[in-house]
Amino acid sequence: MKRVISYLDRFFFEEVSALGFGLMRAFWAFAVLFYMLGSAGDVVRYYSDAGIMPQDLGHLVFRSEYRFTLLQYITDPTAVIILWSLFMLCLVCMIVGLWPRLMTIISVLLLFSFHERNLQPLGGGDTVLRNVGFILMIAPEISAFSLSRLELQWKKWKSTGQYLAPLKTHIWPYRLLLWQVMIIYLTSGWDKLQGTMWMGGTVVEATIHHTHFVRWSKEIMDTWVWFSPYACFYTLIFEFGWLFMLVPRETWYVVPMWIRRHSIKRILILGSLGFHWGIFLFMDVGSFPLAMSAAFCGLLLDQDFATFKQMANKRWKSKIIILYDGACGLCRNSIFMLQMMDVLHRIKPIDFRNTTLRSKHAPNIAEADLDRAMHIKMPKGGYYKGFDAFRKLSWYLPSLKLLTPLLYLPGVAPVGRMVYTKIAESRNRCAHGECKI
Amino acid sequence: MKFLRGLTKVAIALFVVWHMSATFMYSLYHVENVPVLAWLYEKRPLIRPYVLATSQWQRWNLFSPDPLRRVIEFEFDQKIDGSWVNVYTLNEKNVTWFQRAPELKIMRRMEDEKMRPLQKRYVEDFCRRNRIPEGAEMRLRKRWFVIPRHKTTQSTAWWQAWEPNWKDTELLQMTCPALP
Repeated sequence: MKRVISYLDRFFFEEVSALGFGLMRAFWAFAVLFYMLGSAGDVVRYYSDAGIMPQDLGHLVFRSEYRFTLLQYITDPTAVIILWSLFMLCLVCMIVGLWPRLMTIISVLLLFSFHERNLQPLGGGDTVLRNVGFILMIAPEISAFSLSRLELQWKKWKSTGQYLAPLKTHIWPYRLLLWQVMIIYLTSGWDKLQGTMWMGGTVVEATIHHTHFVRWSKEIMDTWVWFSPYACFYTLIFEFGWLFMLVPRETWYVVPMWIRRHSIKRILILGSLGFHWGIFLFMDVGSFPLAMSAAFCGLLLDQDFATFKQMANKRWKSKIIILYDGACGLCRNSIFMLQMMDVLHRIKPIDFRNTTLRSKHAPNIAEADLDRAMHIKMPKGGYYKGFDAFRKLSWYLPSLKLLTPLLYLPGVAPVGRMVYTKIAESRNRCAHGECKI
Repeated sequence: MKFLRGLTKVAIALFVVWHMSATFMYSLYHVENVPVLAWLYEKRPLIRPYVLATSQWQRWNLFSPDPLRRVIEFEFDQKIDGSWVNVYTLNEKNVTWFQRAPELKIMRRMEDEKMRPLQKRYVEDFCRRNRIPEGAEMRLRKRWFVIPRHKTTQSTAWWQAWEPNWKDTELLQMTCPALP
């Protein structure tokens, strides 16, 4: 009995990383924002009484019971636009993680309200967003990758010099999400077996001639009909492949090691991403690919992040050493920001005021030189300083990657070096570790 | 405290099981030949209030059992100098990138005869957006063709030779209302 209780406790309440759900929160909000902004010009048409679906015609489309929407009461076009704008604002807050819990609850309830107001334009992607939104709303920990978390991290680091412990959460929201994803694929696969065209391999050749969905001309699509049976069977196989997720992990020891060391879940996620974005290349199926991609973020657990980090750092034998001035508040704050951006853990900050560490990592650089600018030491031994060090770092920190090409534009380097020198000189005015630039 | 924590855990676990069962049962279709699933399907009224009230309804029949093969478009005609002139076609070519999925879905969902009031409302909205004066006579037509169904995949040459066989039917005639 004790073993059963312990198993059940682990099944629902095992502690796992909360990063996946944090990522899903931001991705979900982005997907909703992207498509809601896309229909910005149609807000009045779709959701107000002045539009194509006034309430008095609702009986043709809406169910008569258990239907709740704020837009039942807010019908005036101006009021609808105001509510929609508030919704967009909440979604932006949700993406950046400002009051993530409150913003998520409001955003999800508003999404329900808008969807329930007019079912006519909704597609499968919208249903996924609603299903995933509900799980997000009730999940206990969704604050990873948020400004709120950054603020807490900052306060802790300022007061103790330590970082917060990694965010953990119970596993039950993950179970709900996994179950939802399985329902999508398995019931969809089951429904496909009830017809004849999927098993005949002719679905894709018909679908790529449906002008409502297809992105390319008939001439181009005609040349792709040979692909139809392969795509049909691939779809069925990977949809039913999600059945593997029902097999308890404890029984996997029966399969050979070469299979066991790969994660079936990751293979299924990759297969599904390939499927959805492959369709996206050829067909317009609304928000479905983006919505499913958001859902997959929530399925990532500790081992998945660890594997990703391991793969991304495959060629990295050691870290980039950053030599900074530990006596200067501005420098410490900059190091804090860099560490926050270093999601792949590729940097190692070293306070050059510590003589032992300095002689170990930069024996040939004088303290006066180190005092003039931040220096970095690459794993292969090269040194960079000041603006050039920052530019070099941008290559290796994924969160700065977008900035890298801009830093190489003509004229940026001299200006960057000048600004950097100015800031570095000003930091000498620091008192008690606080800098006034 | 320990008792309360235990009670909360039991409540959460029961909720998880309930939600999983409810969403699964509500997404079941075509299960007549599987006794267990058919039994679960019959029990849907029990979970219906929960699923609908929480907006968790779902049906994953995307491109299934067989894909949609009927292609439709709406023609908006206006009577000008006593004869019908086509002023707009609602199809994938005349909507923006973002409107394509929702607007074409709306069209597919209101093509039936029983949706006549919605079609009328759509034309009224068309008049308003295009500033067509009150009293202008409008006609809505539906054009459609069906993509052929095969037992095995056809060759590229076959598809290159294939031409859609368009059909045409009038849905309604009406006059534009007063502009707001």
